[in-house]
Amino acid sequence: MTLDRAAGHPVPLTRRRPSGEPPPLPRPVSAGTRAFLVACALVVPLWLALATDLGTRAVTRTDLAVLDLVARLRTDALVDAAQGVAVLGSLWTFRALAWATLAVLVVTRRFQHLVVALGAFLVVPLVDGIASVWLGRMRPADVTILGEWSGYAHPSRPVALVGLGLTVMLLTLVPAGRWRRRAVAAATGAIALLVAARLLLAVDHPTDAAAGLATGVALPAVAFRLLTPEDVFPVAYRRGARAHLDVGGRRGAAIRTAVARQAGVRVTGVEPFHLGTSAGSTPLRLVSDDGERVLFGKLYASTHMWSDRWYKLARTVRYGALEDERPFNAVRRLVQHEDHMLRVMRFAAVPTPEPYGIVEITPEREYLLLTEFLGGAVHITESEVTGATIDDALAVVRRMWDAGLAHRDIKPGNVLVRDGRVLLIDVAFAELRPTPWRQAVDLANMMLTLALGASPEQVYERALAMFSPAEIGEAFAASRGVTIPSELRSRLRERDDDLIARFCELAPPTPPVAIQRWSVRRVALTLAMLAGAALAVALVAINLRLAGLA
Amino acid sequence: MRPVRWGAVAAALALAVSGCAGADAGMPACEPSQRLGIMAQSVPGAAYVPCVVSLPPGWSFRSFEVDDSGARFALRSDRADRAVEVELAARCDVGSATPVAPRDEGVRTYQRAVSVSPRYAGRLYDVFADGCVTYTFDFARGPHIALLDELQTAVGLYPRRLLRQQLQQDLGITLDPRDRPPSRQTTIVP
Repeated sequence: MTLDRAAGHPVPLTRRRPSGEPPPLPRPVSAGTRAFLVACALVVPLWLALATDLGTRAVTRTDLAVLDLVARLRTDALVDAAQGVAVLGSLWTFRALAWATLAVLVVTRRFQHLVVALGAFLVVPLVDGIASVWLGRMRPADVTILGEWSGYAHPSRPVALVGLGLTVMLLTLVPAGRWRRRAVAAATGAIALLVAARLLLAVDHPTDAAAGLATGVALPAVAFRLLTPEDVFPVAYRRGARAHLDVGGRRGAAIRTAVARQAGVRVTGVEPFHLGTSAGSTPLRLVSDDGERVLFGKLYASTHMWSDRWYKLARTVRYGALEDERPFNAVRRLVQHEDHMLRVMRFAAVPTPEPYGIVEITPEREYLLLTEFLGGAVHITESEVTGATIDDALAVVRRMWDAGLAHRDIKPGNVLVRDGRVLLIDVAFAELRPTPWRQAVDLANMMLTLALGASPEQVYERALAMFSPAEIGEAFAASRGVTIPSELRSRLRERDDDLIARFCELAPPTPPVAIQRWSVRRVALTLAMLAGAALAVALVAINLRLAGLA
Repeated sequence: MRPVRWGAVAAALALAVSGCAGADAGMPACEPSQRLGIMAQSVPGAAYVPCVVSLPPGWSFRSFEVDDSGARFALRSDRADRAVEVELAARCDVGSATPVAPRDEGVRTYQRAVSVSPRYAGRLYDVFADGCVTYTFDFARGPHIALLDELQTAVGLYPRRLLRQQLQQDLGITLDPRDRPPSRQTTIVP
């Protein structure tokens, strides 16, 4: 379906992407990533060779031939300099780099980078440790060793750790572009000097240093490129843009192409819109090339799906089976659900934006949900809350109840007013055939939202026209902490009075509805999480020691 | 689909925690290997390198460390609450230790008891050209005599000369650099 066809206008047909053509925003594995992958992969045959007598003989012969040539360059001055440079390979260098990086990532709250960094700091020393014990390689023989050394020779631990510390620091702390290029050049120089010094002092074989570089530099580089791609998780120090995707550059162009091809609308303007009100997607305002049409888009990526999964898992563990908390297993499902719920809501006469379908940006990774742009609409807190507004808003809840629907995220940011009529937006969490408890919570949250701009007595009186006192009593008996969206909760906290208590006084006394629900699934998930956490702590403790971080 | 993935993750983590390289991984067995080679490199010229002949029942290998000042490993019996540490160094201070029957040709063996009761603790020394092996033990009284016997059976001394020949023959590795200064004759600090 295209926009214009939906609106009844004859428009040129959209172009179907033929089989084999790349999507609007392809995610090919870049040449750099492939090179790093090859470097990692080459380590495996090297290790297999070193695990055999024949392979060891061949590799060692080559290594020693190179070391012999390097040893001929030795002069007193060069050896002194090399011994100075070799200090760079100290465990303290790695500790300083690693702890500084982790501290900055915590302070700047870049948790995706933090998780991958922590993983790299733990996995690389673990892999190197296992390989070194397995191979048990000697230090270079038949040449005098002039430097300090510790442990097995292969892979070179100092080279791997310094490479690891610098690589993670560069990829997580230095913004891409000119500064990163300069930092990469400096880091490459430092690592090259360290490798050269260790070869001159004959504490490493050339293949020891190469394997150290593969595990210490290439492995984390691949991990960061695949798990925190720069265009999804840019290293930036601007505030407020963390949860949202950058819609400039390649992605902006891809969105324009995809919307033109799949929705039949040529857009020129693609700009972020009210980012602060959405944490689960990147809201966009799209303007057609003739400037006459404005669309609203919500860009979803796999990061949003993972946020949704963690959020639901945490809720299940903390509160049990409040309602269906099954996570979405694909971004496509997430965006399809919202598109579907918009259509169901409109069919039930719940005023929501008209959906125009979804646009595929990158298959299984990024999708754009297109809806009408509610021009002229304002948040309910920015509008006068009249008796008519209250009636309209409560009628919306009544219609959802009657149609077997729940919005599940009613808060000031999701209740708009245009021309005196109430509109609901952001139906991503909406549910068909929810629990009665959930519907009651919707009512309580709508009444609390309305009471931010009107008196609770007025809201209660008008609610009685559509809901029985018992239903309102149940709504507030079910309303507490977790059931109130954080935005609404913070607005309630800003007030001097206690709106919830006031509504509870107005409504007939109703015993509180317990929100803790126990089930086998909750117990299993809780135990699994505890076991996972214990395992993670044990792994971290073991590996921090192995990694030299503690 | 999901349970399989979680299962794989759990298996990988369990392997990582349990140490997938095996319980005796890294143990310096008495056979020509680079593991003994690097121990020999840690004390250039040492005539012998300590190694594990075979672990008696109930004994396990605990740790191994090597650097340019020497090598250390630890063994522990399930009848002992503390591990025995075996250290190869260029020199050792035998002090007032008592000479006992030598354990190998060219080796002088000493024993020093630090405590006899309530625990049997002390050191054994194997002193040889350019090197020395110190065994530090601390056993509860009772099984201590058997444990000390088992320790001496478990840990052997591998001759450097033999190791050099076999590394050259098997792996083409020349253990001692050609430009290494000649070895000293004695390392005992009385």
